[in-house]
Amino acid sequence: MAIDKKAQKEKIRKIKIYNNKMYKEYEKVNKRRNIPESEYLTQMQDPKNLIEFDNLRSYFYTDVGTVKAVDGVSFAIPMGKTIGVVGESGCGKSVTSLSLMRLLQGPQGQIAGGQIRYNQISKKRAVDIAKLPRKEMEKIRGNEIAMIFQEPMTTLNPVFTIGNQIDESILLHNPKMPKSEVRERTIEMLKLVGIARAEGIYESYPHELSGGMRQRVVIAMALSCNPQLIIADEPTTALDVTIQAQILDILRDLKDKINASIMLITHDLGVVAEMADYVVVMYAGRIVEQGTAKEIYHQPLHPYTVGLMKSRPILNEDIDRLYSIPGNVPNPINLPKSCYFKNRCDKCMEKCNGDYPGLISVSPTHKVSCYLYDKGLVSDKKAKVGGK
Amino acid sequence: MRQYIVRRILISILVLFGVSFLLYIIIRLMPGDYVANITAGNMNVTAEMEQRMREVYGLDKGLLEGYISWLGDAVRLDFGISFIYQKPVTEVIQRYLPITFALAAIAMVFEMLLAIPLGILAARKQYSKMDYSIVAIALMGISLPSFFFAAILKRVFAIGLGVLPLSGMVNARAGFEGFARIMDIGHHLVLPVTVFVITGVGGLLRYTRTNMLEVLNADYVRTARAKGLPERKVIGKHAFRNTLIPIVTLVGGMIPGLFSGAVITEGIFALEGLGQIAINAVNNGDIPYLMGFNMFLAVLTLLGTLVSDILYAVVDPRVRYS
Repeated sequence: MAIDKKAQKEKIRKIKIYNNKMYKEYEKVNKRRNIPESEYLTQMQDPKNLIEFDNLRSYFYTDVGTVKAVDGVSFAIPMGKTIGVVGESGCGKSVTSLSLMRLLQGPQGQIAGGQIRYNQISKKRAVDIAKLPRKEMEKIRGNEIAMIFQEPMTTLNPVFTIGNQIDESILLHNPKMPKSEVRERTIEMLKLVGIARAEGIYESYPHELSGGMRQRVVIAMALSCNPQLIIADEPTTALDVTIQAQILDILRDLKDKINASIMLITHDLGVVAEMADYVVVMYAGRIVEQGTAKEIYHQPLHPYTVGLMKSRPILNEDIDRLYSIPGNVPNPINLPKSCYFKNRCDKCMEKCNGDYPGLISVSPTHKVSCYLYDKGLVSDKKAKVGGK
Repeated sequence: MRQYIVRRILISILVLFGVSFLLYIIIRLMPGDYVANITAGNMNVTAEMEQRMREVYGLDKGLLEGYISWLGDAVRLDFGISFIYQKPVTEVIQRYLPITFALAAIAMVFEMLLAIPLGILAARKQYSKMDYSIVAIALMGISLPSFFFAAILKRVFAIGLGVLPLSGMVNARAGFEGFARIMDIGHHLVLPVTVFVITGVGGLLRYTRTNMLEVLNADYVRTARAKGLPERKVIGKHAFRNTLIPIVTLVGGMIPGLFSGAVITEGIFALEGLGQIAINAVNNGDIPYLMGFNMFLAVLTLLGTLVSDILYAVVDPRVRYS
């Protein structure tokens, strides 16, 4: 027993030393000034894409070990399209989006590797957001990439008026705009998201509004600078169902109006079906399946996706209990080498005890990471090539 | 708002009656009254003389009777004549107040100037060496007994280095006038103020740090970053305004402390402030002075809470009084 405790303590100590070493390394990188452009300039794989995640890895160096919250995620967000990112809590959806905003809570949360290529149209160049200096990132945040958060009750600062908070965002990215024009634009944005008494709301404080109203304000704030990409991190989770539909409608309309892309993060498959063009299904920090919304809905391949589909309530269907996937998400520290879903999977085979399955292309857009669709060794090679 | 303030003041008056009654009882119940004190050891005083003196000082009345007669004068703002000083209580307070207030006010300003920025800095660099050293120093300050710290300071700066005066308010031999006199007083106040600041800064600093930490994890700070605001503005505007809310309420509570005097520090540095007088009054059973002084503090305490409640509404739009 005593030896056990000692070993435990030793382990914790080692983790702490390792973490401190990592913090210092990241801080060194972050603190550098005058980073040459060549370090973060890059080339898009497909110029029609707005964002390309390439093998993104985001880790949290915690006291109990390194959590690989996002471990090798690659997908693209085409211009003007909506991408739905689906998965249960803790699968790395939010961390993916926060990595894209470079808003991971430091020093624990860090982008450990991979690229996030961003097609910066305003400057006619492509940059790697993972390596972008802080100053450059501040110009993109809120201006070209805006984010809508999940908790409208707490995302607005309680001590400033709504008008003040939206004005601030506009003024920050358009410093030359006269004050009166800024105000006009704010009120116009408030009207755009369906707030009737825009002038009155302009002077109000957040606590005077309902949750749905606040989420509209957050959306107005996000859209105020005509962003290229809107990241919506579970924008309707905290709202009741009637408001959910309204908020989604607003998002969809506005996206077309300003011709932006949306990265919609949710665990609600219904929302994705309604909104998304493409769907990415994540599990324990990795993508298990991706494809167009139609493909994912009509032909889900990965047992996890199939399970998610089954556990969704369907109207006019007479069942006593909703299906739920057995088991729990694995501990994110020291994940096994094999497929993470193995223990919960009802189609688990001998092969699943091997390495983590690579992405296998089923169609040009549809990819799945599961041995079920691995057709022998010969086609396995082909699939891997296709997967890349 | 005005209605609220008026209501609060009316309630305060009721509270003051209660406070004064309790104070009077406690002070009267102190063992040994003023007459016993001044006659102690004097063989020539007879019981009859003592009785007459008690009548003169009004100590012969019962508790309730004595309180009513004190109250009757007090509502006319007459707090009686101090037994020790043989002067009206208000005059005594007025005379010793400036030094106490100056000391406390200067110390408070320095405390805030140190505690708030350092608290914010510690919070921003949580668990770093900087954070640990700031918190450790703050804790040391809280734990240091003021008499011990004052003694060390005097040993080092007054006796050892000889750069600062040992005690007192002014250099009696120099006889400075005008600006030179102010500079001289300042010179004398350096050590006492240092003692005040070092022993007092810790609480506020840790309070600021805790609040800032909480605010820094709030969603609206993330929103501010997501807008693209530079870190300086995220902290200075969005986070700081919210950290300020609990601090402001704390500052209201510090008001009575500005006037109550610090018995030990004033004693060590031989500063004639209210703290010194108060301890003297307690030792001698100077009832009029104790009543007057404590009522003065009670009024300030009530005012302080009222001020912090009003400030609360000023800094936090969610708080409205009606």
